[in-house]
Amino acid sequence: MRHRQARGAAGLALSVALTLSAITGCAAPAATASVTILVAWSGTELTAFKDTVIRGFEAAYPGTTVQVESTRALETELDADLQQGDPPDIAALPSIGAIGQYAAQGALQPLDGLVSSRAYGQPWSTLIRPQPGGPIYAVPVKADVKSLIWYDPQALRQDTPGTRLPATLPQLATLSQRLSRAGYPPWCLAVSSPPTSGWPGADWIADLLLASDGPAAYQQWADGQLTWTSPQVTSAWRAWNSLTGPGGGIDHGPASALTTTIGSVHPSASGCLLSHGTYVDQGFPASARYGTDYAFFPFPSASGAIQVSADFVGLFRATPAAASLIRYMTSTAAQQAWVGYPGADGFSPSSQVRPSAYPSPVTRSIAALLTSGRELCFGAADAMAPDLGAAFDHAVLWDLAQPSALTKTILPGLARVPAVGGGPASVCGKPA
Amino acid sequence: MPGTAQSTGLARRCYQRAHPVTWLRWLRAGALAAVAAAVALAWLETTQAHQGISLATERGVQAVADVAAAQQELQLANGKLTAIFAAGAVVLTGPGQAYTTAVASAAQDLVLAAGDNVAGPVGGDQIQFAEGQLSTYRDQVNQATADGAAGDPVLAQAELGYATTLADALATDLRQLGLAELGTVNASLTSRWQDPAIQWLLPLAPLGILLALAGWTSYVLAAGFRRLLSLPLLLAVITALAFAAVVATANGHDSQHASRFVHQIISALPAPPAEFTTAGPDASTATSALALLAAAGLAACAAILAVASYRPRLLEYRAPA
Repeated sequence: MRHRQARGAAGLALSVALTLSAITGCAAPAATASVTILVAWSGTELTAFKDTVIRGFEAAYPGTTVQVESTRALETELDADLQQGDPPDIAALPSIGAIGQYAAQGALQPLDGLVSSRAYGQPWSTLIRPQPGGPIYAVPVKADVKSLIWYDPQALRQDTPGTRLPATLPQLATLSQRLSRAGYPPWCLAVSSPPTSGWPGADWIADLLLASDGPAAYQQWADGQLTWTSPQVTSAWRAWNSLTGPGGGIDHGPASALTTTIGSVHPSASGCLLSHGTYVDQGFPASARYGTDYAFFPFPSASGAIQVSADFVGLFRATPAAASLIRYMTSTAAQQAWVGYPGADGFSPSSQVRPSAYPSPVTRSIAALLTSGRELCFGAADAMAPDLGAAFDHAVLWDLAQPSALTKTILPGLARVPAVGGGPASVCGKPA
Repeated sequence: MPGTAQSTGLARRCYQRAHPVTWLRWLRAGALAAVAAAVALAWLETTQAHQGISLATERGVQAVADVAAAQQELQLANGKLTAIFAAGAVVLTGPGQAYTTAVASAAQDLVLAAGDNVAGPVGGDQIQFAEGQLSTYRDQVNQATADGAAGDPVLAQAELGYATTLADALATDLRQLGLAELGTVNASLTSRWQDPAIQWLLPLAPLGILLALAGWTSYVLAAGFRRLLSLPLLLAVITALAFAAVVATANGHDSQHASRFVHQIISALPAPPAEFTTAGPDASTATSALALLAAAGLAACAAILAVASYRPRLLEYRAPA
């Protein structure tokens, strides 16, 4: 009897011990779990991310904290971290070329099973696999539309009465020339964005190639099959020079564009009248009203294809908390909260997020372009190998400073930069 | 005097619950435990306070100085670089020897800061980030120099502007890093272990119990042995109080001295951070080692006296051989 009592007591003690160890062993790590994420966002973009996605995640996963590290030189920082064997858990990368390189190095963890490509239409569902048919290594969490031309409706009506918005490239060139001849500087351009200065010009040239030669040529160029010295690419650069070159239409001239910070110039009655690029990079003041003080039209293109960009998140450390954060970031609820944040000015690549989720008429109009059935082409510079993308950006600076060197030095120089092949199957595609 | 009579009655009832010898044995153990507790708490306070002092004075202040030096070298490097470009000498000299030396020193300062970092993983991340930014800055300068050497002054000037933007951003990052290191130094020097109230309270609290035990011992001696006072016990209490005073004074002195030392170092930096909160300079020096040795002697004396004070009365009750 005493023996049985002793065994009962021992069993009870063991149960208590196991319960305690379960509580301390399972609950404690969750209470101290943390995730680090490296991003290149700043200002309102960063605040929106923290206030919606991070706050929502930390509320959904109590005890898990997220440390957001923001850097202007994301790839440099990430390379240094990887070299020291201390990468962040997650990084948000705008370049699929870089994603391909990190995947090839074995630095990125596959995301199959964590996210599904079915949540995304084309081209996203293709871009997330650096190798055609290979594992998913990154997932887009934030997109933007680059093929936009911004203008001040009142100023444009006043300066060129009767002008219709251009629907073709020749019409755009004509408008630019008319404004220039009338004494108005047509184009706003700012390319200073250290350490990646020049990219707004690269986006513009990519749009010119896409508009004039279509998605197939654009795809070949991004793949490295269409060389930098080819007639199509040379023609796109020349078209850009005719819009922006000497005697052309940049407010205060190309040298000024080199030293002007991105976001510090935008169309207005007192300055330049047109600008190219994403909404967030225009830097319109908060008091400006869409439709009255500024408006946009899609970059004129025969095919209707538009150039887009995205930030992809990649997993560098496969911890449960990091995996949970990626799953949460890509959820429809988080995406809707993120794009709905006033001033976030970003767009969701997820086909589940509808234009009505966007908080302002301008963001709703841009979001509608993403789901309008137009072919979407990922930014060529971001699809190229990082070295080539950086060379492209620098070539833009060089061309602004010395346009006469275009065919003699700049394009042959770009053609000599090794283009690492084997990227995603396609950078263009029509969303379902 | 009903209150006095009542408390006297309570003391008597309490006294009668055990034999006087039992009481004395308990009281002897209690007195020893009180002295031991005072020593333990004084030891805890001293080690914790000195841990903070070491962190601040040995590595923390050095980390702040390393970061400030990196900031200064970066400013110098960019100034020299701008001068080379302004003089149009970049074609022949490249960025110049002065730039090269200053930027290499800045990189070295960041390596030293990584070794001295006291701001934990946050500080480590910030240093790593600053190193990356410095590398980006150097790449940008190399690009500007290459464009300048290639005879493209417009582009070279634009690239120089980009490099200056990066240098300014890095200077801001370094300032944040310096403040993070300084924050840890400040936290170490203003923690509760450096608080004079805590420094006195911790060793004195058990001695309050010792005092109470001495009072009860006097009652037991008076009631059971017709004696009023144990002189060794009184000496034990006084010695223990002296021990507490020596330890608290020595720790307080070391805390203040550390604050002043750190202040002197940081005030001498080229651009001392304004957020430093400790007192002004002082020429006094630390004497803690000697004081703590004296304290150890006093604690041992207190313990011996406490044991010795109970011995004669306990011997009276020992059974004859």
